[in-house]
Amino acid sequence: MTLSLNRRHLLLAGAGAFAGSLAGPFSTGARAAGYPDRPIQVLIPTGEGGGVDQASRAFNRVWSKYIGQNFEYSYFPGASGQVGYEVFVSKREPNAYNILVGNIGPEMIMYATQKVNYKYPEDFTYLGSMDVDDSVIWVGANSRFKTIQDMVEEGKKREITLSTSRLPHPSTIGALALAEATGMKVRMIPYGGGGHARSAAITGEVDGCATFLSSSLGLDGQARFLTVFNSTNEAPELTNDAPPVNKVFGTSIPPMSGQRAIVIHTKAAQEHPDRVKKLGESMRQVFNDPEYKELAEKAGTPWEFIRYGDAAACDKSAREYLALAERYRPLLTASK
Amino acid sequence: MNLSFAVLADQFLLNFSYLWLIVLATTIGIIIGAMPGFGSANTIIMLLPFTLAVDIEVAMIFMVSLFVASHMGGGITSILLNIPGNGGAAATCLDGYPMARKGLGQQALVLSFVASTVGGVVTAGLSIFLLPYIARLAFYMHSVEMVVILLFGITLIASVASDNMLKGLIAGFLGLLIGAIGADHIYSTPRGTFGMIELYDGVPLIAVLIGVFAISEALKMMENDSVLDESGLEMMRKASWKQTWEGVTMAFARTWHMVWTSLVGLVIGIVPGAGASIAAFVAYQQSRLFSKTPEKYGTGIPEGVIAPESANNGVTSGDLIPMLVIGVPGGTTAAVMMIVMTYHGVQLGPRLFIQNPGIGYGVFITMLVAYAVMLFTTLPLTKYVSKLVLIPTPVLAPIIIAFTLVGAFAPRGYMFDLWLTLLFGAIGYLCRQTHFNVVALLIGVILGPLLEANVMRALRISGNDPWVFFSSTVGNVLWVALVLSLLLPSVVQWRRNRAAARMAAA
Amino acid sequence: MKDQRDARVATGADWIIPILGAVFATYYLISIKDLDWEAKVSGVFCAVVLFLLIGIFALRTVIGLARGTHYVEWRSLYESRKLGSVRATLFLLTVASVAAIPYAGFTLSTFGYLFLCFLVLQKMPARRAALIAGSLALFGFVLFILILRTAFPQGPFERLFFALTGL
Repeated sequence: MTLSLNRRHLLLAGAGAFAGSLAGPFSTGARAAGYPDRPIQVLIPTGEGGGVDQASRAFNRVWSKYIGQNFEYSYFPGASGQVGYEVFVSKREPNAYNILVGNIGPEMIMYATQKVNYKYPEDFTYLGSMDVDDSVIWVGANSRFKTIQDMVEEGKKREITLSTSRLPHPSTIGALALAEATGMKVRMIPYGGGGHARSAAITGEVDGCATFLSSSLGLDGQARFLTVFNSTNEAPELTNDAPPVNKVFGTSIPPMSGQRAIVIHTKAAQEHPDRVKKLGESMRQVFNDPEYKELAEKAGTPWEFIRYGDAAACDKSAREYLALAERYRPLLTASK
Repeated sequence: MNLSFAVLADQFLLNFSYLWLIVLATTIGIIIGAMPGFGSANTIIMLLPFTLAVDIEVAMIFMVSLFVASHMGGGITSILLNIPGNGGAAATCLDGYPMARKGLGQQALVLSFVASTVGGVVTAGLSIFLLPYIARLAFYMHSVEMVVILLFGITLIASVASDNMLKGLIAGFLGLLIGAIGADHIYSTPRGTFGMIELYDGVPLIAVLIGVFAISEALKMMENDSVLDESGLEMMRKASWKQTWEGVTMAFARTWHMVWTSLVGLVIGIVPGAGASIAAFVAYQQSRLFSKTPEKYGTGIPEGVIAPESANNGVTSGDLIPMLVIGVPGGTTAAVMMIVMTYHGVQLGPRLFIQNPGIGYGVFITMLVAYAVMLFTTLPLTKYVSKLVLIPTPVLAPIIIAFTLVGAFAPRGYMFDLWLTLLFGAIGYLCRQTHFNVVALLIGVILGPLLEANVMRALRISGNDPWVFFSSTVGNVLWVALVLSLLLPSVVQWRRNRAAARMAAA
Repeated sequence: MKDQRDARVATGADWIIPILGAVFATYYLISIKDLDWEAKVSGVFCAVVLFLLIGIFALRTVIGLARGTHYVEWRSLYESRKLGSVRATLFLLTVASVAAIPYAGFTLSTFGYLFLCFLVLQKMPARRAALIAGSLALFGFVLFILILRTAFPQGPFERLFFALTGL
């Protein structure tokens, strides 16, 4: 395992905190002349220890080998990710030393449904995406729903409750689209965080959970996956072979996937094309590194989901979510 | 879950071989715990390069020790300076600071350390043996039950403000309304934010805490040359080891009190999102309720320090149990620990105790050892730390302001938070000078958002049926207890009055 | 205050908090008027109860004033002229030091603040004040900036330090 510390950590060690255990790895990495000559600042618009945090830490650990600098993190959760984007756009310098790691689907839905003070793509744009994660519906192990049909049938008689981390989320739209297509009644319950949403479904406060697949894989036997919002189930062995929703109901619900992506200031792309190019090229290299495979799986993302998407693909996905969010706006917002 | 004594013994040995690390981690933890604005979660994040590099056992020992120590440290500044190191220690101010003013600061510190230790040890010990059952509690504590538990805490507004009920209630409801600033819990729509993005996630608790307590307290303390009153000053000058011992006997004379209040913390800690601050306030409220002398609470009595301190350390086990047993973190620190554990390939959830029982149970063993270690490192310090209050106020007050302002800035790095803290400092000062209870205000700010989130969630799950609040057995039992707890004091008072009247008549 | 129950009650200064509360509650209600009920209900509840409580408070004060059990005074805000000016000095110095942070950085503004406070409030000799303030500011720099890595704006001192040490 390579351990690279940034300078302040070394200082910390120097201050006597763990002089013994940290004295060894004093390497500052390959330092090319010019950009980047100091650590890259990563802004996470969701909570510490959340899915994005874990995935980006795994990614950046390998990325730092190629970019020659370390990454420093700060967290600005709140208002479904809006706070993080606002801070990024208005308070972080557009110099390609500041990046935001987010999730395209949820955050474009948030952008479309909340009153925000920034504009896409004028204020921010994507460098690339690092994975694709599908939306799923799962129930607790003790639930009487064995299949998605069971849930839909019951949902015709009474309202089904599904926990979700936040309303502006692809899995929420997926569940609402499913309800619309099948005549099931569903009520989405936002818990303000993926952890709470999962625990609510496991402990039986709600009928099930609508979320992204990868964050629920660690739950083991406590979760029974009912359906996947994509044309195929990418990880059948991990999800008790849950069928794709359209295959079961003959519907045409679009794939509700999330893509964790690196966001940069649009202005940075215009004013520092060389820096952004370097960022982009080094980012691509990560995917060919076997160490990343190991780290990503440790962070809980199956290798099947790791997929590079370039700026254009991210933009396309972002615009699709804008359109989807427009359609379901009344169900997702508090403004009359 | 196959609990074997070989596993436990193994873990004890492992922990003892890393005693130096535990001493180091608990020292860091106590310091950051005592500093408002710094907590275990951000410290562990900062030290990730270390915890990711070493073996998982070592990382766990380090993180768990630091985590429990931060809960223990919060009370130090509450007691000596009326400035809680974190939300969980806010309730400790209620009786801790009056004790310090009377010159009993050393005893109060000892009480807080002993109560924290007993609270932590009892709950960690219970967790080892009853883990599967305790984890089941999460299946019975849903939004509805949380609403009632939070109401227990909220009723404390009325009790702390009993000397001027109307002003206390105004302060409490103002606090609740301040707590309602920020994005709503269902649609994430900002409310009452004056259009400021810095307030979208709600008013940062730490700015309120530092403003209302530290800044306004610093302004207030300028009236005298010393924090202590005359007799307190006299006592403090004579301070010796005797006072430390006195604190220990005071604490152990109330052993049962420490035990049951720590259980309040354990239960509340298991619920995701509910943490030390709720536990401390609820335990204080419960302690006052069952006391024979509730009117003495707030004047500086040992029970008022013991209850919140042992509860907020009882939370530590409760906080980690959902992470270990279900695989879902119960709080921010647990979420950060999960990063480290998953990075080291530890599978959390039910399989943990089959594949890696050492790590699962090791967490609680580390807690036991860390608490024991802290008792030995902290108690000798009480004699010296408590001397802090001897610094003359014109020197102490600016130092308090300068250093707590750092805490207001650190968590989010906004200059805005510093101005907000000054604003709350001014509000806190006005409140104190005109007898609006600041603790009532703070209870509103802390518990309001949680109450709203749980009420709205319960309503939404039920399809907006208000009867949902009376739909669960556990919830209904809690309701009855709540109603009793509100009525009981008046009934007791009435009977006492009647008895007194009879005595007078006779 | 229980012991003052029989004496006349001072009022006036204790109007500030209720007035601030009422103004804020009014603003809060306006800010949520267009929202869905789920985003509104708890705020409305708190605001209404707050108005009710403030109403009772007002009524009580008016009746008290009419009956002569209350009297108006503002002294309780600052207690005595001397104490008032000491507190005002402390608060204004604090405000000034916060305002200085973006330019002077944490270390220098903390030093200046503590130095002036010690000088003005404690009447400490300048050398001693500078020594104590200096060591505290330095301690703060090591603890908060070097060890705990708080992201304060950098001032001349921090820039010099990092330039000299190459950190």
